[in-house]
Amino acid sequence: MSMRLLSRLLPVALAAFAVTLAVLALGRDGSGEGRAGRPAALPQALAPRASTDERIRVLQDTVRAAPTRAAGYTLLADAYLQKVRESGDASFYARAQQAVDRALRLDPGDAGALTQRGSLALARHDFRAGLRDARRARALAPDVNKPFGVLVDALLELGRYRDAGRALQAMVDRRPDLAAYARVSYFRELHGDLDGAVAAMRLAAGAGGEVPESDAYVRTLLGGLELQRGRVGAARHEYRRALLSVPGYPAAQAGLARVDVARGDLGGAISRLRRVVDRLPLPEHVIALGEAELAAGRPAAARRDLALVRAEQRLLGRSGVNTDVELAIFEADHGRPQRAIALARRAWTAARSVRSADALGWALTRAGRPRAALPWARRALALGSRDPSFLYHAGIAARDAGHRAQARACLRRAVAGRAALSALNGPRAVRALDALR
Amino acid sequence: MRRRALAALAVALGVAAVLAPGAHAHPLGNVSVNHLTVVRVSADRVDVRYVLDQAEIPTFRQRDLRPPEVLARTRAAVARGVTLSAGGRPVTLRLAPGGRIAFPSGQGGLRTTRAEVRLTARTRVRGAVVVRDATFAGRVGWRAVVVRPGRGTAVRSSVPSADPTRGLRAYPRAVLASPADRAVARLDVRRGAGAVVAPRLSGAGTETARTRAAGDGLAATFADAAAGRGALLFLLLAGFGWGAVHALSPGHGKAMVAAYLVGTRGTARHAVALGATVTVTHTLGVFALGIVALGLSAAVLPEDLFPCSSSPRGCSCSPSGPACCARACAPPGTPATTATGTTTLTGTPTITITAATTTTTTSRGGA
Repeated sequence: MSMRLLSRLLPVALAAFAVTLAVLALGRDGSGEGRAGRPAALPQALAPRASTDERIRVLQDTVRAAPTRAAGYTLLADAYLQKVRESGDASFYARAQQAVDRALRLDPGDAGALTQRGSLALARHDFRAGLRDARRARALAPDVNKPFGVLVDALLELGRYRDAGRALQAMVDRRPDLAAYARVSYFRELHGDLDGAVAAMRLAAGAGGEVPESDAYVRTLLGGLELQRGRVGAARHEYRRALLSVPGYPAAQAGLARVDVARGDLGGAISRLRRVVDRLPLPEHVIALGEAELAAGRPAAARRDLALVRAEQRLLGRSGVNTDVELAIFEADHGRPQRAIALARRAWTAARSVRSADALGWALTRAGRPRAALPWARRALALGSRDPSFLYHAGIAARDAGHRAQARACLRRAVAGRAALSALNGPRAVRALDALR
Repeated sequence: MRRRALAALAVALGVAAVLAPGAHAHPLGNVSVNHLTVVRVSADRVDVRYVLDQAEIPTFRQRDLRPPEVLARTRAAVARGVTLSAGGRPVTLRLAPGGRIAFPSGQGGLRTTRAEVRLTARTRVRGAVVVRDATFAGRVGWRAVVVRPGRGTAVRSSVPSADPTRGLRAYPRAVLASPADRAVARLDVRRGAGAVVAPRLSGAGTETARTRAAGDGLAATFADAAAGRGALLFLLLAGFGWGAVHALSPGHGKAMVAAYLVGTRGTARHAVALGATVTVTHTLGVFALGIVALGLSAAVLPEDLFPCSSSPRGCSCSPSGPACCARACAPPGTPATTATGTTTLTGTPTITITAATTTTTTSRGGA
C-alpha cells in the first residue's frame, strides 16, 4: 500500500523537481531581466571627461541592462549624434535614429528623444519636422533647455528670424552656455554684427563644452568669423587651437586651407584639402578643393573633383535629403543656371530664409537675368548681413543690371571680407570692383 | 552662412546614406572604407586574408582607374599597412600574387569596390605576436582584425575570433552595435591543437575558444568548457558523477530504505522508484536549503543557520522510530528485525543527520 502511495507521489516529486530546476534556470537566464526591474542605473561609472566612445560603451551596457527604459535610449542617441560630429561616421545617424525611435515607442512623451529626433530632422534639412519636434519637446518639458537649440536652429533655417530671436533670447536667459552663445553669435552674424558675433563666440569658447569636439567646433566657427573680419592671422590661430583640441579635425583643416587661400598659397591649400577629402570627402571640402584647383589653373583636376560633388548630390537626392540651396549655388557656379533657378525656387518655397533668397538671386544672375535677381539679392541682405558671399552675389547682380553705384558698394564690402570668399570668388570680386572704378 | 549651409550639407550626406528608406545605401555610409584582416597562425606559417569594401564615394574617386590598377593600389596599401611582428621583431609578410577585385553596384547608380588580397609569412612564430592593420587610418568605416585557429598552435588573442560581417558582406545594424574599430591584434602563440581563445564579440569580456583544425577532441572539449561553450553539458555530467559518489557517503537512509524494501518484499521496480524519490526529494531539499541560506545570508551566516535547522529535523524524524517499532511489534516476526540487522551490517547509525538529510527523513515519514 505504501508502495502504491510512493508510486503516486513520485510523479509529483518529479514535477516539483522539474519546476525547481526551471525556476533556477530562469533565474540564471533572467538575471538581466532582474536588473531591468530596478531603476536604470545611469552611468555612474562614467568619468565627467569620458570620451564619446567610452560613453557609448557604458550607455550600451545601460540599455542592455534596462531595455525597457526610454531614458537609456535617449542618452545613447545623444552619444551617437556626438560620435557623428566627431568622426563624420554616418552610420551612427542610423543608430541614433533607431535609438530615438525605440525611446519614443517606449515613451511617446520623452522630451529628450523628441529633441533628438528634431536634430536628426534638421540634419536631413526637414526643418518643419525639426520645428514640430522641438516645440513638442518644449511643451512636454518646459524646464529643459535642450529643445531650445533645435527650436532656434529650425526657426533660423526657415527664415523666421523674429521668432528665432525671441526663442534665442529665452534660451540664453535661461542658461548662457556654449550652445546658447554659439547661436547668439550666428544670429548676430546674420544681422551683420560681426564684432558682436566674435564676442559671443568667444564667450561660447570660454563657457566650454562637455567634449573636446565642441571646443574645436566653436574655435572653427570663430576662425570663420575672423576671416570675414579680414583677420587672417587670428583665424589661423583659432583653427590651430581647434586642432589642438581635436587633432586632425577636418573642419579646422579645411579652415587652414581657407587661410592658405587668403594668403595666396593655393598649392598649400590644395594639398591640405586633398588630405581632408581623402579622409572625409564631404561636399563642402570637395567644392573648396575644386575651386582652389580652378583658381590655380588646374581645370582638369578641378573637373574631376567637382564631378564627385555631383555624385554625392545624386546620392543625397536618392535618399530624400533636401539640399536644394547648396545644390542651387553649386549649379549656378559650376553647372546649369536654369537648373539652379528651379532648385532655388523650390528652396524658397520650403524655407523663406536669406540663404534661399541669395541662392535664387545668384542663380538668376548666372542665368543672365540680373534684373530679376536684384530683389532677391536685396532680400538676402535684408537683415543687414555682411556675408562676403551674399555681398559678392549682390554686387555682380547690380553690376549686370547696370546699377554701378550699388554694385560698387556691395563689392567693396565683399572685398573687405574676401578672406572668407572661395579661392575662385575672392579674386573675381577684386577684379569686378577694379573694373567698376 | 554658406559655410554653415555646407556644414549642414555635410551632415546631410551622412544622413542620406543611412536614413534612406528602401535605398541600397551602404550601411556604414557612402564615404566609408571598410576593411577586415583575418589572421591564421599555424605551426610553420602565418596566413593573412585582407578584405576591402569601399562604399560609393571612395569608389567614385577611383573611377579613372582600371580594375587591375585599383587592385594594384589595394595591394600596395596592404603591403605598406599590414604588419606582423613576433617578440617585438618585425616579420616579413609576403603578398601572394594576384587577388580578387569586384565592383558590386551600390546606391544612385554608383558602384562599390570589393577587393581581397592574401599575405603569408613562412616562418614559425611563437610567443608575443602582434598584427597591425594601418591601412586607411582615420577613414570612416568598419575596421577589424580577427584571429582564426591555425594548425598546430594554441593562440590567446586580444581580438575576437568571430566576424559578424561574413567577410564585410553584411553589417550589424542593431541599435547597440557600434562599427568595429580594431586595428591591432595581440596574440600569445604556443604549440597546440589549433585553438584560439578570444574575447567575445559583444557583452562582457568573457572569453570564447574555437577549434577548427582536426586536433585532440578531448582537449577541445575542455577548451570549450573553459570558454563557456559546452560547459553546461560538462557540468551536468560532473554533477551527476559527484551525486553518485555522494550517495555512497554515510546517511541518506540507505539502510532504512534497504530494510524497508526487503521487509515489503519490493521488486527491482520498487527499488528504482524509491531511489528516484529519495534522489529527487533530497535534491529539492538541498535547493530549498540553498535558497533559504541565500536569502538569509545577508542577515545570518549559514554556519549559524544549521544548528537552528537541527531541531525541526529531529522532530520530523523522531516519529518514524516509534512508528517502525509499532509496526514491528504488531505482527510478530516481521521485517523490523531485518532492519536492525542491516543497520549493524553497514555499521552506521540508521539516521545520520547531515544538513542534507532533512527531506530524506521527511520522505521516510511520508512513506
